[in-house]
Amino acid sequence: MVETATKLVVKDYKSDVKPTWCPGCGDFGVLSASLKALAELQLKKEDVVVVSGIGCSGRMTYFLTPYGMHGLHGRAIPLATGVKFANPDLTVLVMAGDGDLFSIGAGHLPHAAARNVDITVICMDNQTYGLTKAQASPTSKIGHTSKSTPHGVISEPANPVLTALSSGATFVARGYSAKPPQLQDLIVRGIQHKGFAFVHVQSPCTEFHDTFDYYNERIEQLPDDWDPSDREAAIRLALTDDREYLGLFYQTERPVYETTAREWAPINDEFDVETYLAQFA
Amino acid sequence: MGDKQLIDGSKAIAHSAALAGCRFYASYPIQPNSHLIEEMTQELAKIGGVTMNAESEGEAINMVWGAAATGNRAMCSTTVTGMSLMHEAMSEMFAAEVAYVFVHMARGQTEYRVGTRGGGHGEYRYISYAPHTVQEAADLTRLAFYTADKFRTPVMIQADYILTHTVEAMEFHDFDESDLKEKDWAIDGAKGRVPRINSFIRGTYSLGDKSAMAYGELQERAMERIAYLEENVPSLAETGHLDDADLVVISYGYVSRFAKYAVGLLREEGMKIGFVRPITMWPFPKKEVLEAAEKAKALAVFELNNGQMVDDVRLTVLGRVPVHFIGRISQDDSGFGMGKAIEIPNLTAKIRETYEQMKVPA
Repeated sequence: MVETATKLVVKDYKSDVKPTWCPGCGDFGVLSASLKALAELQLKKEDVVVVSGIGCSGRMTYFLTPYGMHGLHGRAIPLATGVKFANPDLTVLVMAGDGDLFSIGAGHLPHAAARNVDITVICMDNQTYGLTKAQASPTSKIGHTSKSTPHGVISEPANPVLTALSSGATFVARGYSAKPPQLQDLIVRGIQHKGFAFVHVQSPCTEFHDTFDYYNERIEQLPDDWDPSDREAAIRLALTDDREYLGLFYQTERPVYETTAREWAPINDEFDVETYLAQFA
Repeated sequence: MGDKQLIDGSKAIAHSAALAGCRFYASYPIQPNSHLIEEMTQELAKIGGVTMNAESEGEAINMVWGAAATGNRAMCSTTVTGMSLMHEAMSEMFAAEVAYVFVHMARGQTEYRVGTRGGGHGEYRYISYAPHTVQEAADLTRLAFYTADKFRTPVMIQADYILTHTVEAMEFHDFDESDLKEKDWAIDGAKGRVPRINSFIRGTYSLGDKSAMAYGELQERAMERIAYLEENVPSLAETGHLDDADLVVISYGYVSRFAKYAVGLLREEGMKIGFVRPITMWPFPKKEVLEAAEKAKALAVFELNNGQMVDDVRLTVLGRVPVHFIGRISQDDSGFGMGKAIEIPNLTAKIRETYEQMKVPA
């Protein structure tokens, strides 16, 4: 292995496994932004673990050179939490889809956010199940038709940014796969953030649910004077559905679970007969 | 170490796990497993490890996968229904070749089959230990961590409701594991190594080696590993009076203490009864059971379920002698699977009945 006194570049983080995504897939933009973010931060490959679940997004682990884990559907966050708790010095990234994070794995994200475990979760949201060929996903909008929902989706779509904000995530941002420089910047800041960072990415599926035009019309940057310390305002913005805001919604500081847990002093639990009996004296 | 202590089964397992250097433990409250969570919280804090009272069983076992894949010693535990929820990950953790220790705090013995064959998908097995005393719970916990690392595979400890809460005199022993090799497969961020991926598709492998296994290939690999484990993991059993026994009672775990005591009482009456207590439930101690079958006229299996280990006994003796099932599901008001069947008068009567029937010429 080469000593990393020299500057690391994008191709150091890129494996020679060729992505199997369809041409034009938004995930290419996320991969590219992630590679550039790792290079920008000059993180050593051996200090990074990328964890993915199941779906088109689940392939991500194989396209990056750092250590990786490819786990079960929905379970990327618990896997990453285990990695981080046992190895707090590693930089841990979860790269998962809307199906992974907001359907079967929906129980995990709020708790990881509430604990403020220091991992960065990148959600590649395409509002469809691409790998299983176009069934509706939890983020599919009302009326969205698919082979599994021929009459259109009738349930309210999950709101990833709102979920992260309401669960106590300490860094919440949204990017767009078609705007890689901004996405790169958000991923960099998410990794730098000490605590649970959630980066929601609109990453359209060109094959089954092409929303590029939809988002190109609705994308809007957060105002220049946006105050990312105002959680209530961030929540109001997350509830806006006519515009799709991009940028850092919210950031705050809170103790990190794995640090606090390691600082706990053992509680003396030795059973002492004399002390026990004294209460009856 | 070496000092006699008066502690319960959960504390013995927890302290042994800490002595083994367990760095991470996650679980979800369920009785009687909850007591182990409390003890692990105390014990891991003393060695700088982390205990997680997780959000669900699914989260707990997947966290353990994460911690264990990085080469850290990690442990998970639950009870009965909790294990059903965890089997999705447990199935894959065998395929991913992750070493970790799993403690099942049973209610009765209805999970013998699940604890030896697994309850999920695909081909897999656990090396499975069933302690019958607090002392053995401590010793087998150390052995479990060692065996898991040595064979890079999941190891299960089958404890139960009584063992969890029973306080006994015991001592912690030193454990020599100096022959264990460095975990060169761990995704622990070691500098200068080829990056690796831990995947259920094919265990831990380096990126240069990119082809994912086909499902059939994966299952064949699992079968090879299972055969290797069956061949190489030492099976353990305790036996008694096999030299003169006409009837041999086979029983495991804490329950076996009642069976052994009943056998002792009946021997005082002059009945030629022996016993075998499997300590490893998988690999099953075939040698000891076959030895019993060679000399005895019949075997009787006592377990607190509707007949699970009895299958392994029958598969071992293959019709050489009759194998009677004398156990049953047995609940008391607590619902923890330890009812009247283990009371000595009932158990003694059951063994006596089997013994006397055996004596009647056919």
